[in-house]
Amino acid sequence: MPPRHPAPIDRDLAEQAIAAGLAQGADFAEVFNEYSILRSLSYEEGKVKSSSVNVSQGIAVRAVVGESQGLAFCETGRPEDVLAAARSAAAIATAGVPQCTSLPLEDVQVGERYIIEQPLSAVEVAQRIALAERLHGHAMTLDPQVAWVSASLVDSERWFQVAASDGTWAEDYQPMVRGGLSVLLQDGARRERGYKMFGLRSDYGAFERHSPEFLAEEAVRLARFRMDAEPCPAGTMPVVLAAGGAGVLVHEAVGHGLEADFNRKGVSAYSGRLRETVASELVSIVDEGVTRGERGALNIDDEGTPVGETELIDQGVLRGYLTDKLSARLMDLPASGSGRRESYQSLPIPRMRITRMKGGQDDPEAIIKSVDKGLYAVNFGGGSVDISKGDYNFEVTEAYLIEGGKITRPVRGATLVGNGPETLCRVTAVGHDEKIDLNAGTCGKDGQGAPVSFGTPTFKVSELVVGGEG
Amino acid sequence: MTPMDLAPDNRDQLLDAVLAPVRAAGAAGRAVLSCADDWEVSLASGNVEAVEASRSQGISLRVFFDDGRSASASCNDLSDDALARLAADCVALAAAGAADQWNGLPDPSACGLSPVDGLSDDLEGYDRDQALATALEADRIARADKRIIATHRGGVGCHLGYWQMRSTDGIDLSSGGSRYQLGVLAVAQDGDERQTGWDMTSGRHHRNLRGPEELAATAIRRATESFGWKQAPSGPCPIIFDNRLAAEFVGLVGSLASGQAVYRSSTCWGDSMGEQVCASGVTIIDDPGIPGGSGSRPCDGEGVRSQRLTVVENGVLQTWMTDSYAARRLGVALTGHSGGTSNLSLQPGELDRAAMLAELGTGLLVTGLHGWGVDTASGQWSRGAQGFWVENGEIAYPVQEVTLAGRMQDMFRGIRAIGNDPHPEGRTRSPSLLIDGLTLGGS
Repeated sequence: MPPRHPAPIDRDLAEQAIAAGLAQGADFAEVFNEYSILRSLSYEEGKVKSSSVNVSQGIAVRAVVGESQGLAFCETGRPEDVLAAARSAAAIATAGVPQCTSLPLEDVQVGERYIIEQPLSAVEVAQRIALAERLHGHAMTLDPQVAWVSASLVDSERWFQVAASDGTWAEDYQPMVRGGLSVLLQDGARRERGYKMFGLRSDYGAFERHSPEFLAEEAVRLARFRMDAEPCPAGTMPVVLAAGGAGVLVHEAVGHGLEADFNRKGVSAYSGRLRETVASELVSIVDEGVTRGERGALNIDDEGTPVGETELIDQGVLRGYLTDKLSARLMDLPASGSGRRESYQSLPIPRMRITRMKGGQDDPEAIIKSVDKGLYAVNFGGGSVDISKGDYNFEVTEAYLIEGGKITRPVRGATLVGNGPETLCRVTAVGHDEKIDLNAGTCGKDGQGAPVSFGTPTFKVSELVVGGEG
Repeated sequence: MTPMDLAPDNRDQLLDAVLAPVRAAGAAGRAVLSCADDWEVSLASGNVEAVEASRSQGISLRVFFDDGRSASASCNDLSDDALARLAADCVALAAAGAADQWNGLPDPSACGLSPVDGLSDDLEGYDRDQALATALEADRIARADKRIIATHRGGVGCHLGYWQMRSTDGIDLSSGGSRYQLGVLAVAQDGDERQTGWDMTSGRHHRNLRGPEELAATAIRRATESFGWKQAPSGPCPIIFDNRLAAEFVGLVGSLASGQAVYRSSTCWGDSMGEQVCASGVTIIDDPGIPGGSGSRPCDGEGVRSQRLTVVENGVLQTWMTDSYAARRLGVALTGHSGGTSNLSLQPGELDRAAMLAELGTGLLVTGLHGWGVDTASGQWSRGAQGFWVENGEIAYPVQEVTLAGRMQDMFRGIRAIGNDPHPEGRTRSPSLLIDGLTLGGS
């Protein structure tokens, strides 16, 4: 049984706020009541370095008329403040009188996609310190050149209620546990860092599934990799991307371009291309929120729309966009449950959740053997995309040269760049080893961060631009 | 409306209510009350997409026991119950922390407000309808160009903020400021090719913002100057960063010279105090006192009085930028840099664009950078890039889909020429810079 919203509003106030939101002629109004607690701990030099708790609450009212939205919020729960926010938001419409009334509010059935056995607020700080000590302590033993270890644990609880004039009455409790560490190795004047973090919609049981010792070993291994590897050569070449982390390519190359707001405005490289071939027939991509306990898992989105699996590309053909309520209505598309907002202070916009390329038929080892001269990219950093062109990029933190079909020398410091539609058409092999990457990815868009996940099988792109110093 | 107008009448009681339980627990603490008024309108292709307007408030608290055990907390519910919980939770977290001899409030004699003018224009003469009309005008001018198919993510915004800081050792400081912005982003199409270009103006005084004609013209130019692009050849090549990208590069100095990074051994400049970290002729200054400067401030996040600081002089690293913890730990001067740099700038040189290109000879003039492959500990610098290939001092063709890679230590020492064209806005400023030592990944 998830813990209850600490400062709920009742249906009466929600209905009044919605009515006030519709009063000037809006065609949709919504109230969003959010309460969140963030607890954070860092552990360095054998002790707790910093420790904090941040509590934030607010009630936002949104009014929509045509393509325009008004948003105002208050941070007290007082009815007069909520209604004042509603009147401010309502002013986006100028008819001066209501044009529609609200449907009766009906409960939305919410899934159970988060792993909550022990509520996060019941976890003693001593227990969190003990976990951080394990992360830090183990890393300190793993390599003689370890110069600094910074372990961190962040957990958050986010409650919201959402009520809207389309009859939505929904609420959710969303936990997130994030943990991991960064390790710095030093050899004379040379310094190299490795990171391993995860974020999961789970309680602290997550550390029984992914132990602090495993995280520490990965972070040290990646730092050691960077210390020992050569600079990556620069040029255009075939690239094999390892299962899991290569999801960053899918996220940047395709995912953003399929968010419906960009497509509605005709500014995405994928605008107007539904039912067209946009990728090799080996490529099928979905965006879902159903895989239990994953960072991108959601019971409902922030508009109260139930979340399932949205088919984006099926065997190379574009099948769908990620929609919020506004895009779904304006584009006459199904509501995909992709409307997310960072907090009550921002507007919901289409965002990704768990973005996955589906596994294919090929044997991952055979894919590597098929490359005469190229790159095997195994671990990745962050990336970005210009959605109008479809040009994307991302950092590769662990890679190896492929020479004559064999993995040879480790190389570091590679950046890969490409064009989304071109890259997808150049996917020439897709392995059967699909997996979701274990990471703590936060996607940034329009100044809003959203926790996301992604995954892929091993796959090959026949040609990508690789940047390095070598 | 002045920043002070945002402050609640009971602000003294609020701050005292938070600090009283801290004192009662035998600890020291610093509470900060923040208040803001925000208004933002976003536009796309002539339509108002969203209007967002609200007031917000919050209190943050930092608690220290004598032995340095410490914690932080914040909340935005200012009711008695919530503030009591804030203080109790923070004290409890601090009690569970670890002793640390370098942790504590800063020396009160270092705290105070340095005089600085122009932080706020008090919204004097600012009219939201007029501001929106200006943003719509920039949008209209951009779309009037036949090559532009759409605009999005543009708009106008205004922020007014006030803060008050109070510590258990008697420090009591307050200040505030205004900030405005206006921008336009255009999408251009030529056959099958699409490009984007944007421009934005921001500052503390709305009358100083650049006008819609200039914004639209720059956005159009940037959106249309890369059609017919090619990749450039892979290999080492000298580059010029345009002034915006040079400013972003210079911003790395905030981390490279940070006292916090030094004691963690996480800066590649960590062993280089007093050494030549930049090419000679490079001087980098952090100045919190610039009248109306975007980064200007009377004190830092701990209440330490602001001061102008020469970080790099003629290429030689002069000082770390410290908060009270780093200053104590490293045994160096407290510079008032809790929270980062203020107005950081690389001093301009003499060369105009033509002279810079002539000095470059053959290489890449960089007008766009993408991605995150930058690490101040190792110095790794690896990013996606776009711009113009230059041959013998003349622009030859637009370039996209290439990468640049190198090490920041080499890049700062490899600044071969300094332009005369610092961007007039922003917290961090630099003129264009000609830099050796990077490798291009392309065709």
